[in-house]
Amino acid sequence: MTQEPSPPHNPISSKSEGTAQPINRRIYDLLFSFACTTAGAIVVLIALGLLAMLIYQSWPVLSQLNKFQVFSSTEWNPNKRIYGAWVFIYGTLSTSFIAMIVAVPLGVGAAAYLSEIAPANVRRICTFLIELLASIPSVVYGFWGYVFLAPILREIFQLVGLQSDTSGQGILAAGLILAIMIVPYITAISFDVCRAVPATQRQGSLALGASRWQTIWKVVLPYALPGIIAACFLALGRALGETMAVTMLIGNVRYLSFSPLAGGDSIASVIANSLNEAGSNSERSALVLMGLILLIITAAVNILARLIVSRMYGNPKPSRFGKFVSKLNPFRKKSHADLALGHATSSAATSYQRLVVSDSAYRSIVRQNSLMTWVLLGCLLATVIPLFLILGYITYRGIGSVDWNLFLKDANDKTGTGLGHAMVGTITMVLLASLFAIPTGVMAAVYLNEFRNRWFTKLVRFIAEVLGGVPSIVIGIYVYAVMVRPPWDSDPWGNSAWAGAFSLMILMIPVTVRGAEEAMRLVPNSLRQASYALGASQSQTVFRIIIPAALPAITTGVLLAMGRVAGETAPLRLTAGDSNFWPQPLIPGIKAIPSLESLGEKFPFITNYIYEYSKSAEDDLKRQAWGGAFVLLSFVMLLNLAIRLAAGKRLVSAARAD
Amino acid sequence: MRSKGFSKTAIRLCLLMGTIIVLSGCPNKKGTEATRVSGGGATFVDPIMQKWSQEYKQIKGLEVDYKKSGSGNGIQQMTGKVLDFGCTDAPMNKEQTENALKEAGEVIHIPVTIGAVVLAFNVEGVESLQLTGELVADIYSGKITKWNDPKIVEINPSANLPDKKIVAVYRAESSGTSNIFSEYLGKVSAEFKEKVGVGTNPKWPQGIGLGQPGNDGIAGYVKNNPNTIGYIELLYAKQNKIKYASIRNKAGKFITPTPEAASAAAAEAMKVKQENEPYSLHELTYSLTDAVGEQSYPICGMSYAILYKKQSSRKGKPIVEFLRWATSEGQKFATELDYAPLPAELTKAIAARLDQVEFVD
Repeated sequence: MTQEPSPPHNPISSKSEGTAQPINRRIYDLLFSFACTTAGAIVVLIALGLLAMLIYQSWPVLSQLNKFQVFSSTEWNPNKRIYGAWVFIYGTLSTSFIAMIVAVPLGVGAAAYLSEIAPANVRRICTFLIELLASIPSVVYGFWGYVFLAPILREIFQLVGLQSDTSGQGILAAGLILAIMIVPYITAISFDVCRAVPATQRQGSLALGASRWQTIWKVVLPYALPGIIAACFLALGRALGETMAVTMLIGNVRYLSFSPLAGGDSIASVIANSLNEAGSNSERSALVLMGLILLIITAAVNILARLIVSRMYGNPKPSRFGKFVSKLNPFRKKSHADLALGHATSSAATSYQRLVVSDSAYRSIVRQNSLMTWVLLGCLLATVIPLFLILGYITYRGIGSVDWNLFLKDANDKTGTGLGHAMVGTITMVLLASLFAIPTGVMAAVYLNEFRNRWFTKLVRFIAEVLGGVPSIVIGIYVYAVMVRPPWDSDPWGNSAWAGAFSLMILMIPVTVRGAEEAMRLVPNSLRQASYALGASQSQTVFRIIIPAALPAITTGVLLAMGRVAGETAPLRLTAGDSNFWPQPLIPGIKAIPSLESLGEKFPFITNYIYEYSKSAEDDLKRQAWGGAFVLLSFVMLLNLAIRLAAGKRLVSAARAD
Repeated sequence: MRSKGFSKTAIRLCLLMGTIIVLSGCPNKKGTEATRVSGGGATFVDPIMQKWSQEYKQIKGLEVDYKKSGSGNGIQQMTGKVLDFGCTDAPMNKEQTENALKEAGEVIHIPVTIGAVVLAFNVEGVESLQLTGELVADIYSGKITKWNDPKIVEINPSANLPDKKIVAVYRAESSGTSNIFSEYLGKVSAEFKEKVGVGTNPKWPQGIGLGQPGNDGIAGYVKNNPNTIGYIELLYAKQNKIKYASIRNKAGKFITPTPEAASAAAAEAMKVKQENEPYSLHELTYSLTDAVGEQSYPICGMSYAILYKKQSSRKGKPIVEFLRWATSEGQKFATELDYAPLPAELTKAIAARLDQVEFVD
């Protein structure tokens, strides 16, 4: 304590006699409050800027929807200035629909099995695996889908005699890859909410003689329903906005066809393919309009989820169990199971077998119970097996593809090409984004946590949550518009690491805010009270007590966000632009550290090489794509492993902001 | 003590951020000639562009950062000055030319290479295939859907063609290769021209197949999926060991695509005065499709580097020097990469055209 800063820290003196000090402190507090509010305002400004820019750039078409037949035609034909949006809206919705149909039962089933049935060590291992699945970059999913899933589908189509226009790729393939991508989200969050169901609920149900399946179906799942619905909607939001995996598998066919076997195109995919080459101004603004539509769809899903959940949470929770018990009333005769249970409750003294209405009813309950246990186990396996397929396949192909050249050469080297420059580029941009996103995110979280009762706080929280659900491709459009070709400057700024980092920053902020706010909320209130009781100011309390106490959890959230943005592709393709060369080094000879000037030029990043090389027919490039995917995947996995070892906490729940 | 260290770190971080913002605010744009220039666009020229870039770096130390992304992308990004130069296999059309004129003035087209677009196919048990323009037009407009269609069997009597649906692969993005290909099909089939259209982004009919991005995207797809057909630059087919068809030319001969056959087509086509848009809009642009002559391969195209006539000397000078080298000395790499070298008289015309670039500073 002797090294405290100059105004000596004597709470009593500062409270009773301090005149100069409180002024000093008031300035600090004012500055602190200003800094927090600014961070909150930055979040709001980014979101408003995003919306304003999309409307501004899409205005030429938006103002004349009829002329360009945006909603009255199913044709997308830039040559004729017809921009029918339905093909893409249908593609986006149908792929997400397929994904949800597959993923929701699997995810909830797997979560129920893990939470209610699985032994402790199976639970531990599986939750970890599912978190890994949630952190795989989407371009890696796309790559795997392109080389593994689509050919399998093609073979299956042939076996059953279906004629496909696209030999494997199409709406179905894209929907399935989306399902594999979102299952871990649903599982992880549903698992959390299932675990949060009080043990008394389960015990009560089992004590009444309900089987395990009946307990899961009638007690645990209804109790956890709001959380599960929230998880599904978050997953849906992610599926709607997914770009890379879909564009690699959907077939890019711009016709409306309601067969799931046919090719299609999604909103995110057409933007990624066409935005930078739009031949006319109207085509460009039509594409930005697609982005706006996508933004509206995802934001609506997001807001709807929150509305549903808040309404459901509005009910007192225990009533659910009460309802269940009341259903057990034998006079209501709901089902055999209910009936049997009703008898069991009424006379608990005699032996169970005799209480059951009939032997057959009892047996059917037992059968149902064991059957459903197997079904739930099946759900879990169906969730975890793709992980092994993906990890296994990429490790198998990737590990042999990694050599020194991959790390030490750039894509233009005469003596053999590599991806070293792209790795440096990705790391640089992620660090650069973190440099801005962490202070902004943490300060915004402090604002949310410390100034709870202002109207602006509610706005900031709402916007941070909505921003977290904005598809990354839409953020790419926005950053391209403000940092690559700003409308107010006749001289374009061009692709740069700054623009790339800025888009990553926008992706990182909501995750950081969410993680930091949750972490700070978990700091015991007594610590805060003790700090204030000693006379510390608000800023002192936050910086010396709250943040240090929450630091491990904040770090976890930040690392998680970094891992996620490291795998981003779509927005960087628009903003950083990619390059074949090492960025100009800061110190000649040390290629790993880019100079400050080079950040203003086109900048390489590894995910683009995975995307481009994966489609290539050239063996060496394909090998590099495998190697790159393996390196990226290992990096993200190691990051996750490190976080888990360091924090010992489950991760996906911390990243729910997306 | 830990908490104190933390607040210090926070202050230092803020200072660092501030410094970076200030430094980034004043980029050093003036001064000596650039050591790196950015280009991008056509995937058609990408292999030779990468070769030139590697070689030229050894000679002059200039790094030419060429990223393939499709011709349409090259035109738009060059027009928007996001790229220093673009590449396209389709000369800029009227609207694009006017847009560029508004943005920063006249754009000049510099032919950099000539190549053949081949029809790559992957059909089990079929080693060689002969096709006519009309047949290809029928496949790509959805009139012929089976590999064992009588019309295909008729000119390929010895091939063992299966009763499978043809999956026709086309470009997912706006592409100069699509332009060359559809221009040819439009010339041989009025119906195709009417129904599908000619351009960088033709309206491919429903149900014929699917779109893939880039020459490499189509090549990869055709290589990995049976019963597919796709149009790609010759090198992409050769490098990836994909089989490709010989096409009947205007003189009625089936020609296997080679650099020589492309050269022959170019020599014939350049004798003709270019009267149709977009070729009539620019100097040194030629339509090479469906050329006359016994040895001409009918689906050939030229790839152009495009740049504004008014250039800054910082970036413009190195670009002009690079293009001068690529279109003269650099042509020696053409044949090894299965492109056709530019004719000598064209090289001269290009040098004269490059002299017209103005440096404004």
